[in-house]
Amino acid sequence: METVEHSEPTHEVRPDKELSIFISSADEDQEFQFKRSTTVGEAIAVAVSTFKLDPNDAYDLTFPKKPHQKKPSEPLLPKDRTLGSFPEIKDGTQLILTARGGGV
Amino acid sequence: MSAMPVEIVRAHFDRELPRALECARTLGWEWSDDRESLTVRVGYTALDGERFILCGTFDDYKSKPPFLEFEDPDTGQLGTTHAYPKGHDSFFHSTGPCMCAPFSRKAYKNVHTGWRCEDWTTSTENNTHWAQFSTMAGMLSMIHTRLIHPAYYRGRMA
Repeated sequence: METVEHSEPTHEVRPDKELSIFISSADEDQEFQFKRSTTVGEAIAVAVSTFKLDPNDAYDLTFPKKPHQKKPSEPLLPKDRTLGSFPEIKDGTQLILTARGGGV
Repeated sequence: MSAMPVEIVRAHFDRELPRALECARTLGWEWSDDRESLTVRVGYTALDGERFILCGTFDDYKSKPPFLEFEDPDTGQLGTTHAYPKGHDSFFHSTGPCMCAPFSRKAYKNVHTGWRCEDWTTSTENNTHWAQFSTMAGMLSMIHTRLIHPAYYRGRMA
């Protein structure tokens, strides 16, 4: 007779672990340590400051395009969403910082 | 006639090419380049799956910005409105059409005749620090952003 083990659901709060994220701007790469609770907007602000980019421009983070993808990766939105809430973001994930620039 | 010795132009081109290739790999652009003619050809896929082909000529780089032009994916014609994307602002400009930015040499001819080509890497036009878009990777990545962001991209110009 087959026995099935049941495990009690855990109710403990997940620790706000640090994530090691590699961010690439157009011209540089850098490894960052963020908490899972860091928002996309907060991560962008840290990266923009580290890369010494113009803080007044508009920036986004996207995933690199995977070989099987037909369309490009869209920006991570909304920017008040936490990094830890994206299932694809794990320790060691690479993200791309993109800039809008101006239309003149 | 070239204003800069071709060896210097080629040195700029060669120095910036590897990073642009890295961006092409991570962002999924089709890519070809020709070191002899100092040209690149970049195939972008936009948010809606539309394909845009950018042709860049980097003669006189970096005393002058590159000449950047879109190629019609259906006919191969350069510089038609059908070849160009449409955006939320005047970056993709219907006059020319052209990309309206200091890093686009065509913009000086068509729209901003008062701009000085020599200032393109330090320009702060429209309160934008264009220095961060003054490398091959920087400008090509910015164009990519304009094609993949739902707030900036509006399909084809025509």
